[in-house]
Amino acid sequence: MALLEVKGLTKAYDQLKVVDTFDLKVHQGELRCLLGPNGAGKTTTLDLITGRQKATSGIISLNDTVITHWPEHLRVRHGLGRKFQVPAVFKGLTVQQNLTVAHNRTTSPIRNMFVLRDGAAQTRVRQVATQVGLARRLRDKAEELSHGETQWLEIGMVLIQNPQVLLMDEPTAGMTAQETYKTGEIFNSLKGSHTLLVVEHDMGFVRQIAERVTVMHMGRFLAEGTIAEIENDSEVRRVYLGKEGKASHA
Amino acid sequence: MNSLYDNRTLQWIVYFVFFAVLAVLPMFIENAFTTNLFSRFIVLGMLALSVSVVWGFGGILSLGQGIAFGLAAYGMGMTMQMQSQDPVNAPIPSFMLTNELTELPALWIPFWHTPTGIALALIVPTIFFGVFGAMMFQARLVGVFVAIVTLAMLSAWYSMAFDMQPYTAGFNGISPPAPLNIAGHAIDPYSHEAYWIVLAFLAALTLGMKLLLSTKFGLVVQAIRDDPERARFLGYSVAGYQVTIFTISGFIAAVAGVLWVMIVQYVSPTALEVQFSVSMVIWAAVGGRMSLLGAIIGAFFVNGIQSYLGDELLYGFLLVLGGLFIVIVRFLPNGLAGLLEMALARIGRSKAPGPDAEPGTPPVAASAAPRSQV
Amino acid sequence: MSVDHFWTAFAFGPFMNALLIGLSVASIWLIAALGLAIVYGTMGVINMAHGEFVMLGAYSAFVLERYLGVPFLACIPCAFVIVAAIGAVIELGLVRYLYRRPLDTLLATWGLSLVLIQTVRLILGPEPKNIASPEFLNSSVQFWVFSLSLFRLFVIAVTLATFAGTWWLMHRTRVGLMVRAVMQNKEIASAHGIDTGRVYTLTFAYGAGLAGLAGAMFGAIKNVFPDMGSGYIVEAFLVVVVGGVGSLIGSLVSAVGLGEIYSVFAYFTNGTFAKFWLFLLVVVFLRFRPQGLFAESLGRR
Repeated sequence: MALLEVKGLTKAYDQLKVVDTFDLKVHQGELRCLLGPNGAGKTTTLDLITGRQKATSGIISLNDTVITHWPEHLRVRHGLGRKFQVPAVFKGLTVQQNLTVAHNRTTSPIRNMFVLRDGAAQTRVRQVATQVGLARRLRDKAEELSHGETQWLEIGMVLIQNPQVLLMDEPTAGMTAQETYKTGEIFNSLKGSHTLLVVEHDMGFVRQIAERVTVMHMGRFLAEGTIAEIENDSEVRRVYLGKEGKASHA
Repeated sequence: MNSLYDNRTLQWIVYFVFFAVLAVLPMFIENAFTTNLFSRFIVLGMLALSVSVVWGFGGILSLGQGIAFGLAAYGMGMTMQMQSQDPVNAPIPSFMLTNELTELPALWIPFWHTPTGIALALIVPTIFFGVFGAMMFQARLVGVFVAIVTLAMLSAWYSMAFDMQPYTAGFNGISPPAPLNIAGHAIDPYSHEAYWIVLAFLAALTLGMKLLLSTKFGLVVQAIRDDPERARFLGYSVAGYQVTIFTISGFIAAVAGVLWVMIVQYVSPTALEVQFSVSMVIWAAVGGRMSLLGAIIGAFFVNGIQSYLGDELLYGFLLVLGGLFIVIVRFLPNGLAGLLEMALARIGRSKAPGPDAEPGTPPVAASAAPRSQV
Repeated sequence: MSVDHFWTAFAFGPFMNALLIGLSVASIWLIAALGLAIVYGTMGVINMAHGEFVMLGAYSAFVLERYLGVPFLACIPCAFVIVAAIGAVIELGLVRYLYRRPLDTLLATWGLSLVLIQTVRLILGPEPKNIASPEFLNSSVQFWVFSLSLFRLFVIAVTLATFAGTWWLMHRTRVGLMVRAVMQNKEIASAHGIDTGRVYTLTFAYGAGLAGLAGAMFGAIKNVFPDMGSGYIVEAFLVVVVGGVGSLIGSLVSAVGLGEIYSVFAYFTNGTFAKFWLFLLVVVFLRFRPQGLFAESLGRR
């Protein structure tokens, strides 16, 4: 049984279907990449799964529970974690505070009024900071971080939530080749223990991390398979790799 | 980050010293009028505190803090008015007689009983802020929309206070003839005692807020200020936190309203004027909205100058105030406290890497490393 | 007002007249809101000094008429030009630097409104002034059950003409196309060679000019005094917010709707009470439709 399942997912604006009867199954412990040219509907798909946009039709289920009509924060509490395309962190807070907020064991305003110091949470914050390479920057404000570091901080914020499924929207956008490689290592270390769905453009990065790849085109499912199968698929080559392949870092 | 300004322990020491100094201040004041003036400043500081909490920390620009202040002030005015009434000889306030009322309106009846009256003066505005906040924040109103809706709500209450003359004495306002009497003891508005009562409330609320904002709750509130959507995608109910902090700020303004009437023995629709509520925002902005103490000092500073200049120079002063405000918004978004923060950061930098630098701190060069601009 | 006379019973003639007054109220709110709507829709700037632009328009008309002998009807376009020029200066000197900080713009323009009020008060004195409007506008017309002063009809006509002119400018001219492009997406517009800075200056000046035009008429309806602007600002904001940001038609519909609701409430109770319920109604409305009547949705990231 799939951990995250999407069936017949559709998002339409008037005539235009941005996502069109899209199906997807992600299993426990899998690292799945979602590929597709610009405007294929990848980010919209993540928006629909996390509730940032409302689906026109279709069913989204997580761990056998249908969450199609739930508000965003309840989906997150049920086990979704999301990293945005444009890195979103709390700029006025320190790295440590960012991770502390992301450590969301209690979300109730009233109960959190009585949490002044949480030793267990702080241990976890240091663990995750080490994992994403920000251990030395805990006391710096997030606005002082470089672009790559900001991306890692947000990845760390998703990790510390310990969600069942991690949805990553272009985690390497704007990173140098070196930073991208390091991010790939972080992702590889999560394999097996975590379930990830990664939207990515960078083919080199996809080769570094991916097991199975799903390709979208014009809002629809196009192909699915291992990275090798996908790269040899004539249909995929035609719509995607032919154009984008040259531009990528591959 | 690691400048003296951000040192928690030092902050607490400064807060305690500040209130200790204010507490001994009346020892040097003989003049009852000055004592009363200082009490007023302290209440106005409380309003700046409420703005700092909701705007500086919660990121909610409320131009309607005067609603809680005004409603509470009317509640207190009614309570004190009824203390001077007598069920047999003078059952209703004289302004009602001139407005053709023959018996006490139901709205006024609970205020016969002083503790009930004061409790209502605090509870009603707080609940109102809770309900009003829930309407705004569940609809995900943000930024300027919140400012406009709170402004509209404030004008609505203003016109009510103005227009419901038989109940509120309209433009003239309610001026209770005697000071507040608690269990047979009258609190003279011009006394040191009144000053200390008011100060005790400000100190308790300020330190309470300082503590609250350093809990996980406070951290989440600030996170929501920086990026509500990110917080939502961490599983937090953004509306829930916003309503809570908005309600708390309403409560603080309500306490200020009650204390204000205790020390001035007067309430009128001016408490609900738009100008007044925006002024509170100015005080907090001048002092520094991101610092509770800064906001309070901002209120002292602006009001101090205003009363020093007196009424003749008032128009000129408002001109300067408007100009000052523009300059602060444009160049100094964190107010006087921001100025201090920058100064301390500079001192810290010129000393670095001193012996007090944290061992885990990266060298300065690391944070100045080339970054792809976001 | 005594409590006994609080409630007015329904009567056909007066009620129909209340509906007509509602239109008149709507025209006043709309002309006050139009400039605000354009400036907010295009630039995302909440101009708290908009009411003071109205005030400046009224004083321009007063000064022109009293000291230079300009006839009232000619004062109206002059007020537009004068206040538009002031608006352009303010955009270049202040607003320009605050585009990325909408809340700060709100506060800075509020500071600006203080400065404008006090400056006018210091120069021209706090006492109310009168603008003499031409004789023929002071009579009132009667037909069937209706009765309305000609001046109010005049305001309705000017508002409709201004609205139509603005609509034409925005939707049928090249400048309007540029403004709408900037409204949709500033980055893409500037990538296509549109000078967004100039568009902003022009838009702000035009919005200010509309306020000045409104002020010249308001000054003749009531009095001219330094803080007269604050009497229009809240209603104008509500018209914009209810209509939907960036939608001219939305502003028109919401002005008529709010004006009529207000007038009907005011007919049954009284003006202040009506305003209280109207404001409350708007808050409830925004609870369920925060994007307003005519906008797709709030701009999210």
